[in-house]
Amino acid sequence: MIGSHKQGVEILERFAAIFLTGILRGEDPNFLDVRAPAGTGIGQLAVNYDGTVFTRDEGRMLHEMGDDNFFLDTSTPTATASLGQRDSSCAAVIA
Amino acid sequence: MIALRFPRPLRRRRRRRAAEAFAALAAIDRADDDDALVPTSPRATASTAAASSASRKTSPSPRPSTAAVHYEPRPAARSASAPPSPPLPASARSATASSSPTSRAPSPPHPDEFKAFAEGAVDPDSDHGAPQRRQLPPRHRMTSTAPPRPTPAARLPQQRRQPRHPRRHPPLQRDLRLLPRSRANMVTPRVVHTDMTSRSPRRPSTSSSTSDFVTLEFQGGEPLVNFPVVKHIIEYALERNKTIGASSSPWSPILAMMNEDKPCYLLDQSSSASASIDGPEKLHNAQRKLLTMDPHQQVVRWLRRINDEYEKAGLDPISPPRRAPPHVTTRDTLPMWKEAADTYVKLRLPRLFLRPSTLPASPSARARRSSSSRRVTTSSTTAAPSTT
Repeated sequence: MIGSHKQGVEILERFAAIFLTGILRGEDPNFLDVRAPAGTGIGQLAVNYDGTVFTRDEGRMLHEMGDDNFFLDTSTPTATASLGQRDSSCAAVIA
Repeated sequence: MIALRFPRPLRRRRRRRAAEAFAALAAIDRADDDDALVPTSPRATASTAAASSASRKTSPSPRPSTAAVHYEPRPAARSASAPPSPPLPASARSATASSSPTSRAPSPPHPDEFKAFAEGAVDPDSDHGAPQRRQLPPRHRMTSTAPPRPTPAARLPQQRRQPRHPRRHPPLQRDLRLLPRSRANMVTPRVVHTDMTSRSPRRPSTSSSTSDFVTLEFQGGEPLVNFPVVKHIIEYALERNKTIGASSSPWSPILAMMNEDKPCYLLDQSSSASASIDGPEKLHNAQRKLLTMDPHQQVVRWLRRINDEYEKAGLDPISPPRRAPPHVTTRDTLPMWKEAADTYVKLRLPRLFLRPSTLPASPSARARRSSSSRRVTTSSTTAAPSTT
């Protein structure tokens, strides 16, 4: 890709760009997955088809496999702010 | 000049309140000299509150003059990092010397001692209130056992060992990912019990978010299978957009249910659409299953169509809110790294987002991986991988 870019082809790998932005420019790319504290659960939620809420989509995948560590709530009318204060969210944020 | 005139009335008011609290407490002590453990009169409660407020404003040492004064560990814990208070007055020092720290019975409060406490003039190193402190419940003894907080000079080397960026992030943007269709894709088109209803996503919805801007992202399976719910949520978000910021981006992994109307609808509603391209046709078709056996042709056709619609509308196809197509990277991708990058160049997609497959391998795939050295892709064993 670097070689193609030198030949004038505009191509950018976004994941590398996120890290290089933080490394070379000292700026915060504000990418939820790699920031500390993490943004999962407080800046990101995954709502399943049945209304169940998870910290993120991968938590929903683990729920399908029987792991409920990232399960937040069922389809109760819960405020999003309180979802971020669940134990699952807190553990995922500081992990 | 104005700034110089402010502290004097404040200090005068604080001293007046301390004197009032001291007078009230002294009156109570004279009346209830035998049983002063529980304040019974409203004046005692008022004096207690005044003493507590005075202790918050100043840097007290844990010295309740009587057992009726509620001891608050929090302001006392802060007193360790507070600047040292002025030295104790001579009268208070004499009162401290007169109290015996070894006696088990609480010593009667000395007026000068409590006055010094209320004014914040107690020496932190003095032994004030040792008998009363021993009578406090253990949960109130934090200040007697808690280590002193390090001074700013002592904290400095520790801060230098922290990462270069002190994690002052921009405000979090709420990213709400909705899965209108969980497992169903074109491999199992008859699965209908995994459909989201229009009522489901509203519950933890944008209306209760603390963020000023919310991004709604539809994932699958194939969210376009349940397009009425997608439309309903988009329209609801636009309605809410009058008060908060919201954008939506249906991300269809395979764009299998796209038709001519849906790109125009998404463009009209200021939404975007994206799809995964896992590399060249052979690799993409191996990882994305479709009954028509042409998932790569479908996604390439509709991505070009969507980009054309964006260019016609004068929008930059790669600028926000358009997302870079996620590239689900598996083991089979690694030998075809050059072809994968060339696929994006040929499709005029200048943004590539390599994301390792987060879909856990099925038990059969794990068994095959452990029993043989044959490469197994993590996404080809089940339905279309749903990644971020």
